[in-house]
Amino acid sequence: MNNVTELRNQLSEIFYGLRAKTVDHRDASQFANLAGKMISSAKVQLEYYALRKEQPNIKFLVSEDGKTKPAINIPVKTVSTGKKK
Amino acid sequence: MELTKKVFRTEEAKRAYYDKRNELRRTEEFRAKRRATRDLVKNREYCRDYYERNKERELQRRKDYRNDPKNVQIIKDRSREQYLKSGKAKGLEAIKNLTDNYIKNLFTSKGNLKCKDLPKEMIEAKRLELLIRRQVLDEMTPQQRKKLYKERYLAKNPNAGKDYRNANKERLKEAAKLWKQKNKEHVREMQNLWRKENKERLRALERERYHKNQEKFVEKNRKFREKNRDKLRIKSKEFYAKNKEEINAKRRNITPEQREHINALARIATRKRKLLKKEKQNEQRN
Repeated sequence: MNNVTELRNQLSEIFYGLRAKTVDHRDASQFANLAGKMISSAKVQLEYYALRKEQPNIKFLVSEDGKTKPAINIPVKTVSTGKKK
Repeated sequence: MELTKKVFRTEEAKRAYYDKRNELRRTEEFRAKRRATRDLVKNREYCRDYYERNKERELQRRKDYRNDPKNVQIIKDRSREQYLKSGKAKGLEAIKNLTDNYIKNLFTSKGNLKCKDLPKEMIEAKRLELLIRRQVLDEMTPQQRKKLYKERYLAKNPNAGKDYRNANKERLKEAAKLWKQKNKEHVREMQNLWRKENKERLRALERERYHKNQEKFVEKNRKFREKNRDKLRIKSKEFYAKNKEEINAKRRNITPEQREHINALARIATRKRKLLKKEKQNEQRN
């Protein structure tokens, strides 16, 4: 799970597994805990960059195309892509 | 209420009169509303004064209205409508449906993040996580759920259990006593079970205790024997008389090694006795 998309896919698989009772609820709860921690760590990173008013490419939030999904609309001074608002 | 009944010549005249009156009322109502909005402050003051003047009568009227069985359903429906219109119901619905705004609020409520900073993927991942958590809770047994909630509560308040026990110490003791009195047999069974399971552990603990306080125990035993010599002799004689055959059979089955050990102990005892006799005799001579 290097990506949010991968994490999401994994989560959806586990959710359907839980409903079909192919996944044990203990394992699922452990996985949900782990996912929560990953998301909260990403949130902290986002918060940090929002306070610094930067818009870097966070690896965890970057999709396969190489773009963050969706574009973070922070009023930016220095943008990595070079565009100016 | 009309005090006097109107009499009409024809039904048409009657209908025309009532139509006109209803129209007038409608327009009057509209005018009244307009007036009320225009002179809101004045109206409010007037209402307050009116209420203070006729407080008891108004309260009684309200009570009568509520207690009337015709109005029970009306009041319920009205309150339901008001609840559905309120923000609380909307909020609960948002939690139930895991709307985007609710999840965004989870991220933004504690911290400096804003809604526009959040990528869509993260919101969807969070939604799935919450869904899994809910599904897990649904699949748990009530006991497991209770345990989980307890763990969560204790993680937030680690000293909660201690505080509660300290606050209700006497009450809990009394409750435990009462429970034990009511369930005596169950308690006995549990104790026996525990002893059986932890037999070796208990033995080891007793051995340790004995070795630590050996001198104390030996002295205590000696004192007890001195005090109750006659009683013990009688008891031992009785015991021997009862179990004579068994004891003799055991004596016959003793191995030569055991025999030697017993003889050695007996020799030591006789030597001690002789020495004590000699000492006593010397003391008497002196």
